[in-house]
Amino acid sequence: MALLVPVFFLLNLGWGAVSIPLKETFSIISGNEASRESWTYIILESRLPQAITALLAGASLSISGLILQTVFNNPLASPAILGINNGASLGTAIVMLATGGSIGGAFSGMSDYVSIMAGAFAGAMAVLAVIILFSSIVKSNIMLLIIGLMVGYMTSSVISLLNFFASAEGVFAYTMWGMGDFSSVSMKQIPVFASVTLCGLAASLLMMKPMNALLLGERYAENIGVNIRRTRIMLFAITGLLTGITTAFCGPIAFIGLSVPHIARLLLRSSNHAMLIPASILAGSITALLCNACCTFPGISTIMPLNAITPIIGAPVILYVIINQKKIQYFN
Amino acid sequence: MFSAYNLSIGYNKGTSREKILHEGLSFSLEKGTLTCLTGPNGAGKSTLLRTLSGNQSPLKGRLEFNGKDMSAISGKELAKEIGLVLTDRTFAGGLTVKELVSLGRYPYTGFWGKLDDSDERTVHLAMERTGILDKASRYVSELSDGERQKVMIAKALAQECPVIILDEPTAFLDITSKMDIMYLLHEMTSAGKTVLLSTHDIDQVLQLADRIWIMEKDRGITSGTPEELALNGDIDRVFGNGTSSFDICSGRFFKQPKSSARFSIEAEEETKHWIENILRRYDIGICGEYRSVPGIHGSSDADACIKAKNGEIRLESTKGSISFPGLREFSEYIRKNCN
Repeated sequence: MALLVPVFFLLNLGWGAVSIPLKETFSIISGNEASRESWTYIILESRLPQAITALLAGASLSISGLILQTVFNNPLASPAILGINNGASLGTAIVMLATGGSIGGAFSGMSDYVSIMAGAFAGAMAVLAVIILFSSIVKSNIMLLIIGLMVGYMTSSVISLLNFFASAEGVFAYTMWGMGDFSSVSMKQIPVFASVTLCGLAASLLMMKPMNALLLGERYAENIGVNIRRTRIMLFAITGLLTGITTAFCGPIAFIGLSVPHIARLLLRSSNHAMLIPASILAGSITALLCNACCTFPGISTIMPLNAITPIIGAPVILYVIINQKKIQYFN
Repeated sequence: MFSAYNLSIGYNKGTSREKILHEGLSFSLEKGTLTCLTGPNGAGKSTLLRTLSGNQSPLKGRLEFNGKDMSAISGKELAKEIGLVLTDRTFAGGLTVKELVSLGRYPYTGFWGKLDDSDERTVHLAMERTGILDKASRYVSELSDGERQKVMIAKALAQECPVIILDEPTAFLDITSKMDIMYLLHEMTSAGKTVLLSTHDIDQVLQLADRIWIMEKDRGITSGTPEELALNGDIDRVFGNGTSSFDICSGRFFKQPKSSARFSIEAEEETKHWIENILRRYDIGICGEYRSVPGIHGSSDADACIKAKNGEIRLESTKGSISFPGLREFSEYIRKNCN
């Protein structure tokens, strides 16, 4: 699977609305000049960051989904369920709609874009803080899931209100953001995105031992020495960080967090996190790159929204898992 | 290993909804014994087990483990002292048997959870003793309920704890698996482990327990050896009701006969036992030597006598006598005529 990642990465670079010959693509990446300056620009400033974004975002979302599915012992858990996506959306909505999309003036020196990202990140972190607070009071997993759902509903209703009172441009901008997009990250912003994401992914690798213990259920995990409260807080923090930063940069992306852990489990035929965590990271990246490639088509200038493509891959996986429940090991 | 002084157990500690299930409990659990905790449903057995395993704290009083106050022992230390086996459903179906049993080494392995040679040996031995070694590379989801319980016991063994607490370990198992597990637990105590389990299976409790703790809703814990509790009537008091009572001669529960008919039996020991079984099934009283047992009356009160010899059975009464070629025909007759 590790080999597929560079393959897909390069595929993303070579594939796009403007037809660029593959030979040129390679030469541009290796630092040479291409026959057309516009091509250099497209590869380096548009497709390269887009591919890197997809790589990182896919991995982040799939690890977030895996963590939530293990913590809640529920195969249908995902970042969307805990309300973190909604929190980020609310943060963004506040920035975009409440201020009519022209908040640039309020934050002098910052562009509109950065303020949107700040809003999304703040929203995600706020919901996460609420969830962490509740997780130290409430011991039951089911209660936490319900709290997450309710928080999600509340933020959705606030967003609807904001939409109702906002201007037409604001609503349009918000809707477009809501469709998910890997192309909105510029090369300059990549280092920030990459460093936060890589921190989160590295932290998740360190949690493989307690995550395996959590598969037994909380009582057993506690008995073999896992500090449940501390482990949960740590795992939620990783999830919040990864989901928050990804949603901040790319908008709320559906289905990758839900379906990719299942893809990884089905391919590995195991629930052992020692292998499952790296596999989810790779599978997430590949899936995101694939979805990204499906969004553009040579010759067609419009880009398809990401959130329209991800369910096409994600939903069949979930359906397959549900229909074949009895034959799948980790369900029983 | 455990000592409790004036313990109060319950739940929702410190909140307005605090519920005390039992107060003033004082008991001790000795090393190397098999103690069975039993009692009617809702008596508080699971709460007691959760308190003893450190999952919840006692509401009042003092609970000591090996002389140390339980609340002073950290979760990590306790993980090496107490192993748990429950009926909880796990999400570990996608792990192999070996991977699950290896989780028992969690308190001993390093950061990544890698097993060294001695860990591997312990896991191997645990699987061998529970009889699941041949299934080591199978997925947990492929196992039957009985095998899965054995896997959880193997995990507790791999944890190398001196104390193992089990909550209804034989609850959903068939009779062969039940016996396997009870014998395994008994062997473990012979090897020096201390075992505490809650169960509803009185039969096995009476056979195998070194100590029985009977827990009742408003009476706390009555503790004793199986023989003590049987002979001083505690078993009958707690578990017998209007329809059935505990026979201290055979150590079993019998239905009280409804009909007023009483038969006496003359036969060899084994046949006599099964003729009694037939009579009890069809609610007929038995006359025998043990007058102190409810349901058994003096021989002189018999309405009829059953004589069994060489496979043939005769029913003799004042109205005459009938012969039957075997137990089945006799049973059919009783069923049709005496019900």
